[in-house]
Amino acid sequence: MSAPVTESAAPHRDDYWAAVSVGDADGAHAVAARALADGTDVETFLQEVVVEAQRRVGELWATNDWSVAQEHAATAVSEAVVRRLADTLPGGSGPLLLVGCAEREWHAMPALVLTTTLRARGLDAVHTGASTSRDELVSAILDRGPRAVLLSASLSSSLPRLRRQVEAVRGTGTPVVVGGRAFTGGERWRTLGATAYAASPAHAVAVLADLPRHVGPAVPLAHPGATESRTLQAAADRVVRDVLAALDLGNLALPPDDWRVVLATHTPHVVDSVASALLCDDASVLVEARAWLDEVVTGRGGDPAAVGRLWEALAHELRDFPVALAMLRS
Amino acid sequence: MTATTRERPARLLADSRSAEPRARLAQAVSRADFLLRLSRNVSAVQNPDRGLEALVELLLDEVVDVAQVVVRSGPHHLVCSGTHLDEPTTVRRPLADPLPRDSAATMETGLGAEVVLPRSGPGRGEALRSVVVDDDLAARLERSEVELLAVLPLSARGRTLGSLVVGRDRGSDFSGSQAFLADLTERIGVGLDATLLVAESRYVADVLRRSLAPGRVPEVPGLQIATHVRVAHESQAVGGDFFDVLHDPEHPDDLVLLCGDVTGKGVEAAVHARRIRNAVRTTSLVHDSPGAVLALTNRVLVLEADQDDEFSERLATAVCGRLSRDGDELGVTLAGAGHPDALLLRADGRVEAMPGEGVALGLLPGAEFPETTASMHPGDTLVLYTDGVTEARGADDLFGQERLEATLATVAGMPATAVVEAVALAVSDHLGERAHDDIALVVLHREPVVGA
Repeated sequence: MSAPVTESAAPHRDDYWAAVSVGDADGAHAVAARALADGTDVETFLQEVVVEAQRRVGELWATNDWSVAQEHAATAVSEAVVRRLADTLPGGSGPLLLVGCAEREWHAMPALVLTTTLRARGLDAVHTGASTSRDELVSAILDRGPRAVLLSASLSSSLPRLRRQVEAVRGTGTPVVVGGRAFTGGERWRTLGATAYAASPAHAVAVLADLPRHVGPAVPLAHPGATESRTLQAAADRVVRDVLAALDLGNLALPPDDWRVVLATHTPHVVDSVASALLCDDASVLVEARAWLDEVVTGRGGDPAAVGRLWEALAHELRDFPVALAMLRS
Repeated sequence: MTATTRERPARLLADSRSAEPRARLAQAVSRADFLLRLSRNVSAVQNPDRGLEALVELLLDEVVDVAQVVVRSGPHHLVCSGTHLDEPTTVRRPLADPLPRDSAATMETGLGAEVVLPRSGPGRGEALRSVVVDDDLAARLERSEVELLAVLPLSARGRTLGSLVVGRDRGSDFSGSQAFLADLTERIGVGLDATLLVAESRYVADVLRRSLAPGRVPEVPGLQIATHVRVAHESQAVGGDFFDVLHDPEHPDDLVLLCGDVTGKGVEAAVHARRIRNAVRTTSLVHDSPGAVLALTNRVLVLEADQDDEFSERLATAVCGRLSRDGDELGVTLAGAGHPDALLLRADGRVEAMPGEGVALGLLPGAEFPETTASMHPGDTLVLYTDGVTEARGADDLFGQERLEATLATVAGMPATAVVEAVALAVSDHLGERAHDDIALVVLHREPVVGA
């Protein structure tokens, strides 16, 4: 299980992007086949070509250069490429690893890339599909007894759901490794009760070597923010509705593309991100959520001041949540 | 193995019968604390392999220097063993492979035994191999200084389900800790018994579940097929929504399509759904036209409802179709039975409903099912779905037909997987954490002509 020594995949990057960006699946498969024939190994191709392309897709969507449809099409092509790569790999050996996604995250890509990387390293990894429910996780654990479960979370709003998945997995005594963009920086993974954190698929391989074989149940979260988080999660629908009703965008210039709609569609995500920040006891979750929303709104020609107004409306609705209030204002 | 005595095992297993009352009390508290953690540990892990491993690890960490657990699990003996110096290993052996003499005897009679190991000579290896299953472990123990192995029965519900072998480094035995060991084996027996029982039930359920799960969709050149199912009772993993995509053996270029929904949820609904899928598969061999397939399937279900109380209350809705290729033409013929209309998403984003006028299945013996037809051009997408999609409950309203069509319009001409993902995501966002009905979605996308 050594890190691969390989040719750089850079020459294939542009060809791959050219295919993916127009939704040309056959073209993308052809680039993958060519790269592997040239001696690029699977792991390098995934990291330097596929993941890189996905990063560009995300940027183009955020800055509104791409429609949701283009994003979906490009992602679908990349997923098909990764699945086909995974199928070409021999079945791994050693203890089983179960790879899943945070509940209600439907982009399976990060977990797919991780599964395929683990298999490229000769490990026996199985992917449970997008949005892995707790019941699915527990069933798979009882039936197959994996050595560890690896869960990927991309959105800051997913962390309360991820915490429940961690509780479910640890309840069976199985170690749980977390990773993904929702964990950038800090000790979020530790607060949520994960056994370990992996910053990348390669890091995940390293982390697996040091995992305990069995873990106890997750310790209940008792910090003040945790209670607020649970209260907020239970009232999320109402809070979203009240925030949107209280949102005052009065004198802000409206571009032709009505970004009120943009704010309305992203408010549930922001409210869940507040619940995440409270649960992890980490205000930087909100800083990230706000930076991301800034990008989305300005990318669509909106006035960045609108995000400030949204934060004011949130602070007004959460006036009975002292910890959340302090985080919103930090 | 080191000859230095490890502190915790020494304390838990010390013979304290002649010790100070305070020391005896301290030992009793330690033992009680350990037994509590053992019970938690053994009962939480309901997978036999991992459960055994967790147990052996705990024993080696805190009580003994050598441990081996053998249990019967389905058609195997499961054996997990090791010493406190290494990680335990697990092997599965067919029941037909004989176990070492003393381990086998304990499993048969339910009686424990102590095996005294000679210091050296061939007798030492023989004595070890009368108890230890793993050859590698036996060889290591031969070179160690262990003098005594205790073989203990693991019992629950009045039967012996396995055996536990424990050993300690030189100079330590189990005198004065018999009651503690008896307590320990009793808890292990009860915990493992529950785990094995769960595993057995899950194995049976899993075989049944696999027979109820939707089949694989075929690969068809120029056509992408993607599906999505979310069941209402996630812990049962099956539900009353069903679909099928099959090649017609008589017309290899044709596909038979089916998507439907049985009243009820969970495993009972899934059993009925499977019967309907079978009926459609059979009638498709007799009839080419979806309307006739539904009519004959309906007759079968009406007969069943009359003869079998189990099915008298179960209604089903379905849409059944046929995709036929004729040169560059790809024709769709559909017939519906009380089911939401299939949607044809044109490459330019228009959404056309393909109405199905028939009544639900299993109600009227002579029901007829009119057909609608359409042509699928390159870039077009056919969407079959169940009412779990449109009736997904949001904070204020149901997901609804309008939202579904609006979502589809954003992914016109896209690959089938992208269409499925977009709808699944929109429905999931609308639902939030609320409970939902079974949801099924089948998407067929005719690939655009390359270079067009």
